[in-house]
Amino acid sequence: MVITAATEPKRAHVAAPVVDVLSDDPTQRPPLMTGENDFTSITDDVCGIAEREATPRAWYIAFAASVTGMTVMFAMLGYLIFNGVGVWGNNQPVAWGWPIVNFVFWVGIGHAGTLISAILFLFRQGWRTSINRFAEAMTIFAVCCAGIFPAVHIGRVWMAYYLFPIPNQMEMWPNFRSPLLWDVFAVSAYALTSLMFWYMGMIPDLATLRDRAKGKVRQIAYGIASMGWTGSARQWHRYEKAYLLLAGLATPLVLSVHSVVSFDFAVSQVPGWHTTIFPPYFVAGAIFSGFAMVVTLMIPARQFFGLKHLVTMKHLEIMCKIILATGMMVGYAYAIEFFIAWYGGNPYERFAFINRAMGPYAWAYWTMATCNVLVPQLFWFKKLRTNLWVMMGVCILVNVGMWFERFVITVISLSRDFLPSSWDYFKPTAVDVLTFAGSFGLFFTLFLLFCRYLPMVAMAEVKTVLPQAHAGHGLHAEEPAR
Amino acid sequence: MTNQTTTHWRSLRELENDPDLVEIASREFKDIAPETLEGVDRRRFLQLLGASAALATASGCSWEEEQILSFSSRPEHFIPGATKSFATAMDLFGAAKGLRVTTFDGRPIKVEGNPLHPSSNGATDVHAQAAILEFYDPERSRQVLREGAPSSWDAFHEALSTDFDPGRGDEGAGIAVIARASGSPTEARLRAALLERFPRATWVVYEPAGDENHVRGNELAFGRSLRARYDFRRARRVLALDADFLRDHADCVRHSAELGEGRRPESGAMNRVYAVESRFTSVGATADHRLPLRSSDVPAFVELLEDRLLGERGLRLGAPQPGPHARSLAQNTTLADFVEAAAADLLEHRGESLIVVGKSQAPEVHARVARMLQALGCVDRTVSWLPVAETTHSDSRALRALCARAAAGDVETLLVLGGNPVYDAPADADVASALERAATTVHLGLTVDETARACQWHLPLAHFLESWSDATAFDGTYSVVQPTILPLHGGRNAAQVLAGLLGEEADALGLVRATFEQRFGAAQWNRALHDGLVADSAQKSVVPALRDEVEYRIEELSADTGLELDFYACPKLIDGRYANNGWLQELPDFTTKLTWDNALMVGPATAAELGVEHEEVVELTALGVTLELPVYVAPGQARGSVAVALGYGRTAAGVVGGSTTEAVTSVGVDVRQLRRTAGMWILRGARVRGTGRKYALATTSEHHMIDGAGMEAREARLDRLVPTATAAEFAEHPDFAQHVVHHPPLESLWKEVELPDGHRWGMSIDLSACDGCNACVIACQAENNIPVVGKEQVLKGREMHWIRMDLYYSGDPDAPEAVTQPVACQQCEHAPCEQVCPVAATVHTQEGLNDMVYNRCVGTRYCSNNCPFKVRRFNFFNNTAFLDEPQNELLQLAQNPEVTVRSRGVMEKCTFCVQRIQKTKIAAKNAQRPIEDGEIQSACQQACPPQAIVFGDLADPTSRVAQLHASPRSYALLGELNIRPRNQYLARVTNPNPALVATSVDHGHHSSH
Repeated sequence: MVITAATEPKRAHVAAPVVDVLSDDPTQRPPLMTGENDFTSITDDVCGIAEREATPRAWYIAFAASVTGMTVMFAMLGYLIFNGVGVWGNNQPVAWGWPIVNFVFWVGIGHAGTLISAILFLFRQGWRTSINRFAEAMTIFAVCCAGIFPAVHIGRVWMAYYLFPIPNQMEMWPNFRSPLLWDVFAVSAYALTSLMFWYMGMIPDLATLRDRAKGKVRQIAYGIASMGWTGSARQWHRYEKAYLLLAGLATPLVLSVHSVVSFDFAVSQVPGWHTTIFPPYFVAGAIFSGFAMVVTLMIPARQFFGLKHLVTMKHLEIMCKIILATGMMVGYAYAIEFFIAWYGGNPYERFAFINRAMGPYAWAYWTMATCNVLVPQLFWFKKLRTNLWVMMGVCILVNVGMWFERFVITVISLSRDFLPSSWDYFKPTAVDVLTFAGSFGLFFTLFLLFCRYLPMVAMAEVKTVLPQAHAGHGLHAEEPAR
Repeated sequence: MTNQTTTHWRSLRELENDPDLVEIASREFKDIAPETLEGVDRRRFLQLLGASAALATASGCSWEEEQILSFSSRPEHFIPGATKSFATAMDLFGAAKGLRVTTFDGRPIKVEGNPLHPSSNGATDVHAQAAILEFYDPERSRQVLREGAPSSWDAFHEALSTDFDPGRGDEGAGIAVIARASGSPTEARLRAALLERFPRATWVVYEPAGDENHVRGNELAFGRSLRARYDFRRARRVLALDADFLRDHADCVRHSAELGEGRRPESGAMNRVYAVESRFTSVGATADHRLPLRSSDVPAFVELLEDRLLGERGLRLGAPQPGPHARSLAQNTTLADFVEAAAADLLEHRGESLIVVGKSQAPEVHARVARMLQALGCVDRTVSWLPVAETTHSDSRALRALCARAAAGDVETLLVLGGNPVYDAPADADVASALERAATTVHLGLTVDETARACQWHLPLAHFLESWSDATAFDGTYSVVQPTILPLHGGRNAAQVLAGLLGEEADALGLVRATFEQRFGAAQWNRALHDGLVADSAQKSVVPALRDEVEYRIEELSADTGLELDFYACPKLIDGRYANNGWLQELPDFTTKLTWDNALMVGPATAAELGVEHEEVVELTALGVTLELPVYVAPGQARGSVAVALGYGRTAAGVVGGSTTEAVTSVGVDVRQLRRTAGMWILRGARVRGTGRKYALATTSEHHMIDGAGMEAREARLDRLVPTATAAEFAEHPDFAQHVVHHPPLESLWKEVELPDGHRWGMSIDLSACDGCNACVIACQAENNIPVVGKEQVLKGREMHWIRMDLYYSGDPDAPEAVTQPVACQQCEHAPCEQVCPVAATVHTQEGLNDMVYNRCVGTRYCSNNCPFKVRRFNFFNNTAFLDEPQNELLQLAQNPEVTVRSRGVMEKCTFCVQRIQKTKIAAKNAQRPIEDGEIQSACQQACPPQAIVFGDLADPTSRVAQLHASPRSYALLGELNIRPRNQYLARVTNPNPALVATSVDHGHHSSH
């Protein structure tokens, strides 16, 4: 059977037992999943993970480590709130240190999920179905981590509500000219939309889990979470419409949130911050780091939970290609920043960039450049971008590099601005380091809970791209669930 | 339970198997007698438990009893909450600085200069500003102590009545007094009375940073004790020889004010300053030409100068030819050119020239310079000679002699009237041993310091803010020291103690009035109280004759004198007397920006030769003593010399400066062991060896060796930030500063807000006049309740000073030039901070002030990031928490009630002293009159000796500040950012000698129009 590529581009070769998913032959589109999958097997494979009676020991070990990390972070935050911002390394020229670096880092990571689920959905990229749930979950958790930092980095945490436009007896509104306020709106809107999108997309799968649940607790929990989903045609109709609308809503947010985050820097006048390239550069960097995080998490997860046939090497390879592409964009941005610093003729900006590359923080700059620009170049080679170890290594380095990118922008620029008399070197404290390390604990805690109790792969969506979904039909899958 | 074979025992009795011990050891609770274990029965226990719980609750039922007394009727002229000012004076080195103290509800809160007083002209130095904190120091001693135990004044007088019995047989030979230099006529009168009663008693004046070399030099030259009073108003050419006359001089405030006048190019004829010095001082930073030279080479420099003055113009000086060392120095062309140019210039300006020699130089050098001054026709023009009062003449040799006598047991009663000689006397004057030998030892001081610990009696000294006294200005003007409050801790001043010992009434006011009436009569008293001084009471200067026959031998240096170690009085702590003053400890030193430490100042080239690095701990060995201290690589420190500040390493200063009893580590290193009466200031033959260990020095600005890129950028940027021109360039292009930075037309991103008509507050800071005295920094701290954060926080870059005294070195690090620039909030009209604050906590007033709303601030610190001047200060911790500790409650009184004490997590910065603006506005409005120009003075402006800071209303075109803004020299720092700062700087103009310009560092290249 032949389906036109325009309507269902990824579908071909039904039930080919052994297929080269990595084939580059444009006439032979490889299947999106390997093995002999049908609706039941997918349900069994995905639900099986959540329904396991005995939790694997490895999960417990990982969970214990993550919870420890999370506890450390909250302990550090308690210490911070009790004593003041001085427990960090922030100082007079460098008023924003690690917390803001961490915030931008985590928000950046939180970009891949919504990009995959919303933008790729609108572009009808069928391959996304295997990974979108996973990536969205990662997004939510990353945004959780990100959200903590701006909230606690302020001097008087107990007054944080001043940042929100809450009617009050003082008749005081926040300052709408401040990029930081835009940031409050952008990030909270993004967090809410992503959460909604993720959760709504999960409802049919939660209903599946509910229907298969054995114990009372599970039945009730999944029952509540699935919000009365019955799988009726009317519900599916509404669901599909709502999903499309949310995808449409989330798409501009993917681009806007990091643009607005970049405004925190670009709208100010600090040399090294005040550049118009920041919005696209930040978005590219965010997608870059987000995909790297998805790959970093996906490789062990698909291995461990037996999802290799759903998340194939092809998926990973496509993500590596995106990493390569966005890495080049980021590299271009680095280059153009230097060019403009020279071409613009502003001596302060020129120095800001000389200082990045040659000043006391040169080590941080070159770590960033190496990790973000040089290392991803390995993905030009198919052999390397399909090797799990290489992939893993590159993606971890990319995230190291992206953290340093934010460090370079935030800290180096502030440490030496206009008046040399105020220059100072920033040194983080143990509290800085432990808080950041602990935020990974929070991230992995949430992530492990997700892996254990929620459908890691969007079953309903994957089924729509199974060949069977289209057996006898020309265009749309009408009953993907079950 | 014990047996004979025990190998471990707890006591010999146990080893012997003492039966009692066996019994005790067998008990379960060995420390408790068995009968007490019987205790109460359960019923009784519960009864007691219940009763005590009930009683414990009951104790919370009543208010704590305290007694307050209110005014039943308000005293006349007393308005609660209104401030009042009183004229008074502060005696430092025996010279009075006239002050005006502001009190709030009867407590002093701020010190200002007394505009009527000749030694202050309304300005102050850092020490006067910091007097408030000294006054409220919770560690000031609060009672008379005898052997460390509380006692009383009566007990003291009774105990000493035999020592001071007029019928004492030896005519007082066994009595000795060590006093600080004091200009108090009352103290002098009582001293005379004491010496009259006990003619053989010894009275030694000792100041660790005194000018005894100067006085002795003049004794050599003129045969009598004289002190020079310099007139920098008349001096158009000044040569400073190892002399920091702007900081380290009893009359420094006046010097700074007068010199500053001649630094302004608009003054007509600018003065020109040459500095020859080993350490980079504020004089060196202000000078048009500075020659780094070891202090021990300065005599040779004087020889060359004298030779040059003698050679051409035939000034008849009986000087011999320069010695071999001087001739070898003259091989250095830089030095030779310098001597040549300076000598020619001094000669050309005969009668308008001035040579100032520092206290470190030998008396012979002072004598020779006195002779040169005479020959140059300077006497009674740029220099006048004033007789030295005995109570102000410090004499370290007399102190040494006294200690030797005491050690021999010849001194029975030893009184230390103020001062801390155990800590600050030279090592060969062993005051500690002297105090040990004497039968009766008494110390009068503000705190229980090192000397107090070594004395039997400690008497609390009354601070000048709480006690009647009098003082003499440097020029001899009689000044009244008027208290602003009753003594807080029952202290008495030196005159009262003396009167008590003489059996007179120890009433401070009575003593002062007696002195006053003797001299001026009773009628003038009220006037003197009001003015703080008696007008025209200055000493008459003398025109002494030189003693021709004297040949001043200057010690000839051999080539291998080794490394020179210079001691200098710390510009902040002086000799350590302010070691417990947090404001001064945390004040960044002008030339090094160092806080909370002293260090060995080593020039970059010397450091390379010695193989030591910045912040490396080194072993400094001299005179058989080895000290460990950190190195500060100091630009401009003369090659072959190192320097270290006095006043550190206190062991009984208090919780701020270091105290062994409080287990607080000393701040800095005490170098007293290296000082000898013969070499109070210069020590040759020191050895320095690196240890490789590092010690963190808390500086507020990095200006030694940073990375190459940074240094290059700093130097390149300097001309944009602090445009400097020579007087000649200025004459050609008066508006040079406005053409340094070229930028496109500035357009606002926003629709500009039209401010209503009214005041437009602005400020102008003259960089030509500013000499970096730091008085503004401390004045601001005192006025605005700026907290002290401590060394650790300064190391992290979290100092809170609202004014940052920027200093940039340029050129050769071993012979650099320096420019300074005080930077506080520039009150931008387009304030970048306001735009980015998400909660609108920093906003503009209609009068153009950039206000901080502390209540609204949540502490995002975004404003600080966006401030191009980085003048915003964040409270990273609760910096004022210590005020709530019970032992520090006294310090709460030092806070200015008109300024909010900031909490943790909020941003703060310069407000242009908005509280002063409001206060004057209210007063003017009530009186229905306009505010006069100059009526509102910011705290920094008020303290500034050269009046470099001018505040006022830009809306009034006739105001001084508006006129200064209109000056061609005026420029906006970083004005190209279109921030429109309300503070503008007047660009720095120097007046280099054309003959030396080729050899001096290029002053930058100013693009012409």
